This record gives sequence, C-alpha cells and structure tokens, in this order.
Amino acid sequence: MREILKKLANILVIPVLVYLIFSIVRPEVFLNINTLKSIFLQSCVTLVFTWGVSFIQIVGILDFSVAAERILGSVIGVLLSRFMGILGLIIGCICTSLAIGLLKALLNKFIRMKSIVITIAYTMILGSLGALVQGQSSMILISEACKLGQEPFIWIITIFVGVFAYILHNSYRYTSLARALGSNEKLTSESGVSIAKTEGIMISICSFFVGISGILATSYGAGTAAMAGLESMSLVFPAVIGYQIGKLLERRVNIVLGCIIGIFTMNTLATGLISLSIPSQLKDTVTGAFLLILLISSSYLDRRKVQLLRRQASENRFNEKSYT
Amino acid sequence: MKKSLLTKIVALLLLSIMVLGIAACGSSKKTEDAKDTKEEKAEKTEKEKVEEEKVEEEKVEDNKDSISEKEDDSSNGSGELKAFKLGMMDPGAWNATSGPLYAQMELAAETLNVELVYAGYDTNSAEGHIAAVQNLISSGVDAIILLNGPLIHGIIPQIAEICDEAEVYWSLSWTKLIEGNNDYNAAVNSDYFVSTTYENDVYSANWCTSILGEKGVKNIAEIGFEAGNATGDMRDQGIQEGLEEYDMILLGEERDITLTMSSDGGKTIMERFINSYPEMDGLIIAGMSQFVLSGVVSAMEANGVEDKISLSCIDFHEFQTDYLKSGILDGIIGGHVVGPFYSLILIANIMNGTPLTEDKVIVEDKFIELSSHEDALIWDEYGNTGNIYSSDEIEQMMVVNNPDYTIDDFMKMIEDYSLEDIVSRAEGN
Repeated sequence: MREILKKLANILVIPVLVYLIFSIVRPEVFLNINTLKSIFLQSCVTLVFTWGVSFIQIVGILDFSVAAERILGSVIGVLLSRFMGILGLIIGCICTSLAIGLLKALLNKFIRMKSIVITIAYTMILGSLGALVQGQSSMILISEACKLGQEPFIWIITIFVGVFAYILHNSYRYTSLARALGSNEKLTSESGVSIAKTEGIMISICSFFVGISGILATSYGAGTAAMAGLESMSLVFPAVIGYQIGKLLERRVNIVLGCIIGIFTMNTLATGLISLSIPSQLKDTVTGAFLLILLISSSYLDRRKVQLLRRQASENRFNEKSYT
Repeated sequence: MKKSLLTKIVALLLLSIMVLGIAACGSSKKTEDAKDTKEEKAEKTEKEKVEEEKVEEEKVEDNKDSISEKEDDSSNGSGELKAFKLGMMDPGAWNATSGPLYAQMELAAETLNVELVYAGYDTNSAEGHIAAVQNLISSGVDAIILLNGPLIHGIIPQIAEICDEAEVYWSLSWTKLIEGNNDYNAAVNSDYFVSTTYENDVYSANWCTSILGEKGVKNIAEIGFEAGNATGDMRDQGIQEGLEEYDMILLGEERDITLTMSSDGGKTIMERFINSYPEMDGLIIAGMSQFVLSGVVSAMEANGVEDKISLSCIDFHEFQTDYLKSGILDGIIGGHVVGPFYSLILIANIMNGTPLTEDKVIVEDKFIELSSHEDALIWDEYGNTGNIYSSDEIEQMMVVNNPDYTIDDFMKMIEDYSLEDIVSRAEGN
C-alpha cells in the first residue's frame, strides 16, 4: 500500500504542485471545480492527438505533418457532414487520416529515411490539399454536428480512446517492437524485426488517433480552417511537449498516463499564467523555464536513482564477499 | 495470405474514399484555371511571341498618337493591354478575409491580361519569404506583390535588392512604411519599388475598443498576434488608446500561435478567459478572427455568457452576419482586401507604358466597419462576392483605355472605399 501511495505521489507531484501554486496565488480561480473541469476539457483534444503522436515518437519519428493530416481530415469531414451529419464528420476525419497514414507507411517503406524534411514535404502537400478541398466552402460546423465535442461525449470518447491507447501501448506486440526499435534500431533489426512493417503500423495507428482528434477538435471548436504551407506545424508542438513530459515520467508511469499528466500540467500552467495577467512574452519565458526545470530535475532524479542502485549493488556485493 | 489481401483491400478502399472526397469536395475553379494556364503556356509559340511584340510596338505607337484616338479607344473599351506575369504571395486557404482578395485579384488579372502566379511559402520565416521571391523571379514574373511578411521579418532591404537586381517591379500590401526608417529608405530608394498599401491598424483596434467602450464594458481580454509582429503592435496601441479613453482595464491576453490559428484553439482561449476572469465583460479579437471566432462563440454559448460578454473583432468571418444578427457579436472590422488590387492597377499601368505616377505610392487603404446585421447583409451582397471593383471599372483604371484617368482619380478611389462606396458603385453599374 505504501509503495502504491509512493508511486502515486511520484506521478501526481508535478500537476498537483503546479495546481497548488496557482491555487495559492489565485484561489478564487483555482479552488473552483469549474476551472478544474475546464482544464480537463481543454486537454481532451490535445490528449487524443498526443496519444497518437506517442506511437510514432516511441519509434523515433518526429512527424510535423500530423497536424496537416488532421486538418485535411477535418475539412473533408466538415464537407461530408453537410450531407451525412455527424456520420459524415466521423467518416471524413477517420478515413482521410487512415488513408494518409497508410500512404505514409507505404512511402516510408521505400524512402527508408527518418528525415524531418520529408515530414515538411508531407505538411506542404497536405496543407495545399486541405486548401484545395476547402475551396470556397465555409468550414464552420453546424451545431447538430458539434455534439461529439461537447459534454458528455467528449469525455466518453477521450476515455475510450485512452483505454485503447493503453492497451496498444501495453499489450500490442508491434508497440513493444517499436519501442525496441526506438531505443536501438540496429540491434532490433538484426534480431529479425522488420523496421518498415513496425514503423508502418505505428504510423497507421498514429493516423487513426489523429483522425479521432480531428473529430473532437472540429466538434469542440465548431469548425476548422485549412492551413496552406507550413502554418499547421505549430499545432504539433503542444503534443510533442505533452509526450516529452510523459516520457520523462515513463520510469514511474505508463506513457499514456504520462501524456495525461503532461498535457494537464501544461494547460494548468497556461490557465494559471493567464489568470495572473502575465504579458505574453513573459508567459513564454515562464513556460520555457518550467520545461527546463522539469527536464533538469527529472534527469537529476533519474541519475541519482541509478547511482543509488549502483551503490546498493556494490554494497551488496561487498557484503557477500565479506560473508564468504 | 488472406489477412494480407484483406489489408490491401482495406488500404485501397480507404485511399479511394480519400481521393473521391477530394475530387467531390474540391473547388474546381482553381484547378481549371491552372489547367488553362498550362495549356495556354504550351500553346504559346514563338510566332505568338513575335505577334505580341508587334502588338506592343503598335501600342507604344498608339500612345504617341493623338489624344482623340485614345479617347475613341476608351469610349469603346478596346484598348490593347500588354500581357505580363505577376507573382503574388499566396494569402493562404480561402476564408472570409482571403476569399474576396483572391476573387478581386483574379477578376483584375483576367481583365488586365495578367497571368497571376501564386507563391506558397513558410509564413513564419524570413528565409521562406526570400526563397519565395527568388522562386517567383526564376519563374519569369515581371512584378511581385508581397503581403506583410517582409515587414514582420524585417527583410524589406533584402527584397529591394533582389528585385532591383532582377529588374522586377514590386509592391507591398498590409505594410506601413514609416518615413526615415531602414525599411522606408530601402523601399523608396529601390528603382523597381512601386507601392505599398497599408491599413490604419491603430484605428481598427481602437474602433473595436470603442464599440465595447460605448456599451459600457469595463474589463476586457484580448486575443492578438504574437509579440513583435508589427501589425499586432499597432493594434495593441489602438487598444491601449481605447482603454484610456473609456477607462477600461485589459485583464489578460493570449497570443499563442498554437491556439490563435484554429477554432478549437479559440474555444480553449475563451474557456481560460472565462475561468480566469469572472469579471470579464468584453473581448477583442485583434486579428485572425477568421480562425478563432467560431470557437470563441462556441465557448461563450457553452458557458452561457453571451449576454454578459461583449465581443468585437478585426478580420472578417464567414458567420459574422449570423453572429451580428444574434447579438453575440457587437462589431467587426475588416474588408481590407483591396490593397493588392490597387498595387496591381499601378503595376499594370507601368507595364503598359503609361505609369500613373513616377513617384512611389504609399497609401492607406480603408477598412469596412460592420456594426449591425444590416451592414453585414450589405457586405454579403456587394463586397463578399469579390466583385468590389467590376471588370468595367478595372478597364477604366488603365490609361491605355482611359487617357483621362490620373493618379488623383486613383487616390480618390482608394480614399472613397467604404460600405456606401461599394453599394453606390455597384448600383451605379
């Protein structure tokens, strides 16, 4: 029991600390259940997107085109929703993202290169396609089709997707292989693992999650807008930051939960800084400083833990020798 | 084997759905235009080029001819216009702001025998802009119209140098040059610089603040451009002046580009504002309303604060008419879509050997202010169509067609731009 509590404390220390600080500074805002609910609500879309991104990040792919992929899916979804309602939105978002994912997986098999330039090229192509498909159509979603982005549907979808992501991360063979590839590609491939196949599966899974996040984002915000060129790239960064925080906690907690903590913490920080009326330049500085502190402290704690283990091991060995 | 076949079938099915989606939903206009342009290019033989040169020579001769002959030409609108290629920075995907801009430019290009080439580019980097200009020059454009990117990234001197070296005319839009600074000097000292059009961004933001101030709003929040953006700085100044005038307080602001470029981002921002500032009774979206407004409105509706929080925005939105009708939106200012068109008129006159002026033109183009549902309906009918200046009017802006047309007429046209002006011209036509 003590171990479980200790583990729980380890996991929750970052978001609780951040929330606590703002609760002290702005109690009227943060000691309010509506604020907590709102932060969770804001996190849902980014969270589903981050879980998707986590599948390609574990294999070492940083794909900037996933946001453009989501937008293209949303654009097609909004257009289809005019004829088919919510179903059109779902079909448009998921099928488009999945089709793009499969295409990317196929291209990945031939290109065999993890280059950011390729993802930039994808971003430009998908961005242009989005603008072309949008044409001169309005991208505002009719209110009946916005239901999935509203309570309680957004909670239900996020929870289901989270459980699915958890299962995939823990019980799916290819996710384990992807993790192995991400940590040592050469060794893993020499042991007979197909790099192209594993990466392809991860890219496709990521696209599926991206499609779902497209549904949520479009329904939540009541619309979308095509972004030509590289404009959409900036939308990838919150997911990458959320994943990286999750990764820092990976030794203590599953990556799916790590992502929740990461995204929730960043959204709490953003809401807190807004509530303090901090100018935007300073807000960026504080956010950057927070990430730096988090990174440094986490790596320090990990190193210290390794040192302690080593010391303990050497002491044990010494004791064994003395005993014999 | 069966599994693999199934995977392939599913992949093919999904791919065909996506392709069908694109084919069914896509706008055919641009594609057709692109096709036409390609075909036209292919058809352009050497013989045609020689003919074009002859026509050009004749045109020069015509210009030297008597004024009466020219008057005859203008009366029947049969003045010959020189074909040329114009490069333009792509304003991005279609929306309520870029849509009328595209439509007006395309109508003008068609009327003035101009081949319009759009350059896609990385809006967030100086290198992206410079590369786009160089690409346009490599593709053989005779002139380039840039947006506000060079000002934002501080590369006007580099652009001037590149265009002078390539002997390509260039103009800026949404760009205010301040007399005496480096950008101003670089532009006016460039042999090929034609014009810059700019909006009074201090005014637009001040108008938004006044709309709220007049309603008795006291505590506002702002969604704006990222820090350091020249346009954003001017708008902040306008808001600041409004705050002082109406004794209002700016509670907070959001400029995070990962949020201000999407409707779900807009909703997130508004949720944060509502939670953080219970006393907030007004919001100004100082730009990019086309992206965030629907999300903001959605958050206001979800939290039931439509009657409590007043809202004013810069940049037109597709649903502004509905929002103004429902009362959730108190005012919106935009319609600043004709700056590039004005530059095109100046460039087209130069290319036809009849420049409207020898001076560099630095001119303010006006906003359209919509503060009621009726105003929005008028804009929808006359402005949003992208036919703000009709084909006939455009023809008459060319000295080749209308020798009486002067720079004063041109400046007056810009000065007159307003909702009333659009209506009166449209009805007069």
